[in-house]
Amino acid sequence: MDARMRRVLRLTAVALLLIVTANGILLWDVARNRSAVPEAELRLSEREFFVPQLWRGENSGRFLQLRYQYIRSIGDDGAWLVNPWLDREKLRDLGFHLPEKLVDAKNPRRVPRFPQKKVFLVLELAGPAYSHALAQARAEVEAWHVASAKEGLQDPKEHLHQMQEKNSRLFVVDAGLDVEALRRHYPKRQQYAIVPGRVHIWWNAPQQQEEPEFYSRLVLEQERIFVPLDFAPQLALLEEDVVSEERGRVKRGAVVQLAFGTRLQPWIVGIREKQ
Amino acid sequence: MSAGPSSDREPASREAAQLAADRIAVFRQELAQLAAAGVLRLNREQQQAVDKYHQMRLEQWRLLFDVDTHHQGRQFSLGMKITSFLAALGLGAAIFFLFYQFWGHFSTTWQVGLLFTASIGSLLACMHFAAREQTGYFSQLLGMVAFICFILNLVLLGQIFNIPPTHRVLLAWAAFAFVVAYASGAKLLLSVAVLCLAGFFSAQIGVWYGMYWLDAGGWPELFFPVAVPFFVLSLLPHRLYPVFPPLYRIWALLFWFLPVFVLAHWGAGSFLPLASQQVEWLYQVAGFVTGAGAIALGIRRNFSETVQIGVVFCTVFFYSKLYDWWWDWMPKYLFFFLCALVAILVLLVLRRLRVQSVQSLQTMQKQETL
Repeated sequence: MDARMRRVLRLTAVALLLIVTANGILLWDVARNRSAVPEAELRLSEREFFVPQLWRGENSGRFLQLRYQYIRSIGDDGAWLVNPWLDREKLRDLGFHLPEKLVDAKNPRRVPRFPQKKVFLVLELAGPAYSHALAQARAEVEAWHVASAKEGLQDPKEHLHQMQEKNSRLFVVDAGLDVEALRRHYPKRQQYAIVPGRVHIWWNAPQQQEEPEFYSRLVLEQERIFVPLDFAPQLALLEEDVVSEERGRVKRGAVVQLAFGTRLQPWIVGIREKQ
Repeated sequence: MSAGPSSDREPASREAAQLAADRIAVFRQELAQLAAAGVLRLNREQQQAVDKYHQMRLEQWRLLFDVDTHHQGRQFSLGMKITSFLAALGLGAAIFFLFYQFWGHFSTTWQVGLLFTASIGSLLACMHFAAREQTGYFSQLLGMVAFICFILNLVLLGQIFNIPPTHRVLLAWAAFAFVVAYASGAKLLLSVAVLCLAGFFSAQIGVWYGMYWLDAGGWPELFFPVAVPFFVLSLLPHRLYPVFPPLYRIWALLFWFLPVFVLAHWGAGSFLPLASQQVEWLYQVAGFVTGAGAIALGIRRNFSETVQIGVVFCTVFFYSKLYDWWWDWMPKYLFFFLCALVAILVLLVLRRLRVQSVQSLQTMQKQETL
């Protein structure tokens, strides 16, 4: 055996070891995630998912895309606020030290940049946030008058119908850096799931004259859930539409049992038709 | 068969043997020139001895390393390298789409098994050719395929088990690409390995700083710590891989000059506790100084790629500054005229430097002769 052959053999052994180690670490991580009692287990419906259609012709893999909402409320100035709980104080707790006032607000080059931060987000299923959103939609219907309705505004009745029948009941209600502290605050594991996510902060002036304000956005790390072959037949329940007189065009309906393991990674435990 | 006087300096790789074969070709041409000019004419015995020795060496390297001994052969080799690269891209894309087309029809166990087997199988095929093939066309092609299979392996496992993407996977890909590149001598894979490792380290430093790993790309300074180790790596002896050190230097310099160039025009992208304008000035100065430093170091150590990158970035820095200063208020004909004038000035300075360097070389040669 010449030196070249020996060298290639040595490198082959190293590469094989790399493949085995990388696969081993990944599968070990999966086993750890799924071995103990799940950290949370939510029974979601077709309202909380949609089946992504992108590249369906080229990709035979099946996924469910999680649908979730943010809490919205009307501010003092009458404008809608998204995630009103994510204020300066909360952002400081998450590690964002925003300046009270910008040094030179007119100069976009002096506006500070903040990198995105990894946090843990709390997802609430059909809880107070959903009830509040429903109450808000009902109040809008009551306050709405056809005469004062401006062109282009959504009919609040339709919005209420959407909220009652179609929109996701899953809301992002909190964020934190400590999973255990969040779990202590939200102990119901059938209603609250803690998932990895990230916070993005940026400054923007809605109009040239105004001083820039900070905006924030929350994003889940894992929004697409893989559907194993075993649940392929049930996936149709989430894809096919049915038309009913009372409810209009809706999905056939299914209950998806989604577990979140000790590493907060989700997996589908079961999909069955809604009774 | 005697190996001849230079047997103690046998080329250790195909690249080194090809360089030696190229030197013989140049020597033969120069000898013919000298003979035609009547400066040096070897007698028949000397000529035969030299020809015989060269012929023997070339034949030996052709058998051992499959080197090209003729111009036409080199042209064919270049064409084959390009074709091999295109084949690797095509084959990699085919495997990628083939898997995506059918993986949904398999159970999870089968999916995991297939991904693992594809990685192992493609690696073994690559190494089989790497151990036997001198030219490296097929081993490099299969090396690229093995790398794509390994990417698919980890990406799809992540998707199957809903694991969020992480920068750590870049470390695994980098290590794998390094090993396969060193086994097959593939420059493309070495570049991929360098990029993956740079991506991993910059993301890791960003994570230590408290940011989300994918955001590291928006903070150019995170690439600076990567530049130094790659440059140091290029200075280590690479007897078996003579084409790798210049590649390390090219990437090291790019990891330095590209962020410097970006920050010289976008101070807001810096971590430095300075005003945006001050950061830009600082990096403009750094760009010129280190660009000049790279040229000087390249000339001193005979690193041609270092000189070229230094010259390119110095020029780009200079012209971007001229644009900043003059473009808005100066008539365009005057702007371009001044650009040309500056270029001529640089040309004159370089010519003067060249003459000085040739003179100093001649002086050194004279001293050595004495």
